[in-house]
Amino acid sequence: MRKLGALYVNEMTKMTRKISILVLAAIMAVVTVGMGALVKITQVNNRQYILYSGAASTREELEESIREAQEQIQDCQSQLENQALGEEERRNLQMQLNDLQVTAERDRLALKYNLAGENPNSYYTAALQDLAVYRQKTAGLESTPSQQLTAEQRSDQEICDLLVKSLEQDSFRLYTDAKIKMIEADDTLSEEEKQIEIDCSELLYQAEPTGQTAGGGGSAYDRAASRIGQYRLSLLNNANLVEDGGKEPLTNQKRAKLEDALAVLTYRLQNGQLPADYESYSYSEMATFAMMSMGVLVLGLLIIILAGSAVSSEMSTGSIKSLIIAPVKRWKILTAKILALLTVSVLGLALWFLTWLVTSGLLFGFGGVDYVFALGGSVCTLPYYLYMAARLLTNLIPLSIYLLLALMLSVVTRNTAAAVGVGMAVTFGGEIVTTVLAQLSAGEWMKFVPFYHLSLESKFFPFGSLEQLLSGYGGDMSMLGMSIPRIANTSLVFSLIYLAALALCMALTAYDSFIRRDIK
Amino acid sequence: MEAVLQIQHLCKWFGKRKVIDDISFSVNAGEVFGFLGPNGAGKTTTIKMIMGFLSIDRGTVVIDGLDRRLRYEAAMAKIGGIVENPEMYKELSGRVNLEMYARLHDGVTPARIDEVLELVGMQNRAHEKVKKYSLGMKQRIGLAQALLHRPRVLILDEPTNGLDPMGIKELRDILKRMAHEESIAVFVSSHMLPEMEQMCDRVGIINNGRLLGVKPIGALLEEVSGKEVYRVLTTSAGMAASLAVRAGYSVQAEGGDWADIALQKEQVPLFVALLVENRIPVYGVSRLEQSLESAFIQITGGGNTIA
Repeated sequence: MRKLGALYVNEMTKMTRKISILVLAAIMAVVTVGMGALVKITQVNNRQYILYSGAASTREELEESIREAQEQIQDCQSQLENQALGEEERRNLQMQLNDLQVTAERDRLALKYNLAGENPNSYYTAALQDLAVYRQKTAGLESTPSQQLTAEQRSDQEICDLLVKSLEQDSFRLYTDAKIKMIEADDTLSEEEKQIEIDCSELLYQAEPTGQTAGGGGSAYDRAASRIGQYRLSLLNNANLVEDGGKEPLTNQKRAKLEDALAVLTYRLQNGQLPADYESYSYSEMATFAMMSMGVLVLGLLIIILAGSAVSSEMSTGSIKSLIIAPVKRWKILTAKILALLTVSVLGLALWFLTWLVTSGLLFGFGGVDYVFALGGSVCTLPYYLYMAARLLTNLIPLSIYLLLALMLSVVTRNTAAAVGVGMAVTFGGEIVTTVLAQLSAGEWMKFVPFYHLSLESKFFPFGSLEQLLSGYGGDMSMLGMSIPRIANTSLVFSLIYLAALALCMALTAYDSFIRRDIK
Repeated sequence: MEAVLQIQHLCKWFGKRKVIDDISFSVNAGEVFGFLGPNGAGKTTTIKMIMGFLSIDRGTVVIDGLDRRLRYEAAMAKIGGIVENPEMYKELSGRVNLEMYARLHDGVTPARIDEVLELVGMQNRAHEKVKKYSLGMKQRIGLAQALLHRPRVLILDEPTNGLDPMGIKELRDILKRMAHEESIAVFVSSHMLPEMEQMCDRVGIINNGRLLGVKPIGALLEEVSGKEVYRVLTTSAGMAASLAVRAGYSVQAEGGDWADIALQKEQVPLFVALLVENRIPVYGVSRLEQSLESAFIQITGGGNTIA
């Protein structure tokens, strides 16, 4: 062990003089910062194009929007007066007119309740929209005595009143009550479905009693609540309504996955483990993903270059002699080299982590949403930065595979150019080919393609991306940042065993060749 | 005398070709042993087998009583050496290279590194990167590396390559001192007899992968100087050759108009007179620069080993 330690210190000493390490470490840092900046620029640019409706707009914008709507309404009405219209066209125009009237009404209501320029993720947006719709429905009913109204009309009026009150009193509770009444009045839903939707509304209210981040398209709370509803409906109907539109019945495995996702989302909602601004969150997630995949890609290049030259360059310069004449067995020499290369990988990941921490912190704000996962029926959490570190460390597995591949080539060919060239071609070519094959929907045999197993992040952290959890997308991302659809259904354990076998084969080949072959 | 390096029945094949054929010899503590042979004879191959570069197909290498096959690290700790040219990590300084090598041995102190650097006269240049060194300086650092851990056996492959005459003299003195004062077994290979002459106590001669013999340097020199080959240019080479054989001289070779005869210097006029007496025309007599190989064969009488 002492000899191995000494060899390791020597290998690290040699590493300090390798210019390629400095150059590629610098490239990795620059690329990481660059990817973060690129996403930030996209976010800033896109913000200008987002059309905020209702509550998000300023007073002037609302007035402008009402004027435009009025013009279009007049336009529609004059068209409808045309007698020559067909049945179909008339219906379309009527629907268009209806929509326009609702929009204009909504914006007028926003002005009325003084909600211009409010948070777009508050419940106001939804409340204004609903109120506008119910105003439309109950128009002209005010003068009718209540005895002459149908039950449905009375319920509509109650909902309308509740909505008005919720806006006047700024009460999300009242809005939730209105929402529940709407659900109860919906005849298209079965009793069970109604109960699920009502539960979700209550859940949302409990999670966010102020309603300030509980409505509109940009709210993670709203999305989580509606996704919980979908998951529960899926379980109820024994079909996945989120991923495949409910065409196939659930397998036991898929049912378990849905139950886990449901538990995680419910936990997140109940414990406030959701981003306040979903849009900024998804940009920061996108940035983190881009930064990580590019950073690890550059690190992969570095490792292939270092491992691909580890033995062959010492053979060609002859410096291997001072290792061979030393009183150390050959397997120790190779082991020390592998340990040194692994150290460089870990240090590279640490450098990435620091770069990412500072860059994403400055661009998107420090901190984030903790990782919540279901394990054996109970829900656990992992603090955000710990989760990021763990997520980063899973990259050590593909990096080790690249390391062993390049090292094996270096030992066997004794030619640096060949080892690095073939190493890179196999690594990145293989990634691309696998991705393409996966896109072409190749069969179950895909599970025996090595590269198919290298994207381990989503296997280690199946509940990792909130985006995936909320949108229900269940694919993998390759090292090159391309998405790989799940074709073959492989578990984490299968992938790990497969990769371990692969690593063992490459290591044995390298050790056998290095120990037994003559050094001429 | 204590045999520190013992080589027994060493064999090596490169593919189907047997490049080392049953070599056995031993080097004693306190002697400089010369390993002499022409290029391609198998000197470096033998050294690489001893030093662990090449696998040993058959035979044993015992270092200070330790079988290298069974106790590799313990045995290798007692060897120091240079194989072909010393190659170091060029981006690192000479001193750092030595520190790295020292780490792989037990009990080499920083003071010992200074001591060895001084011994090879590199104490002032040791902090420079190895890529700035001349070949001679690399040889010196290589020697320092070989001596660092006080080995029992010092193995040097063509150590005078790249050294200037001063350097060669210094090296010779160092090696002699190591052997005679610190009683190290020194094993030096070379293809040049004069070089061996000045530093070796015993010489082993190798050719075509076979050890032709081992002799004390004195005996070897005596035999080489005693036998020289002269080429006689004559139109009747066959008659000249048979005449030489009848007169008791040895014929090395003959061609259409020449014959190579082994003679001592004082025998030359007598042989020429003999030819003239027998009316054989002599157009010229010249001494051949004897090839080392033929000298070895001649010395050892065609290859019977004297181990």
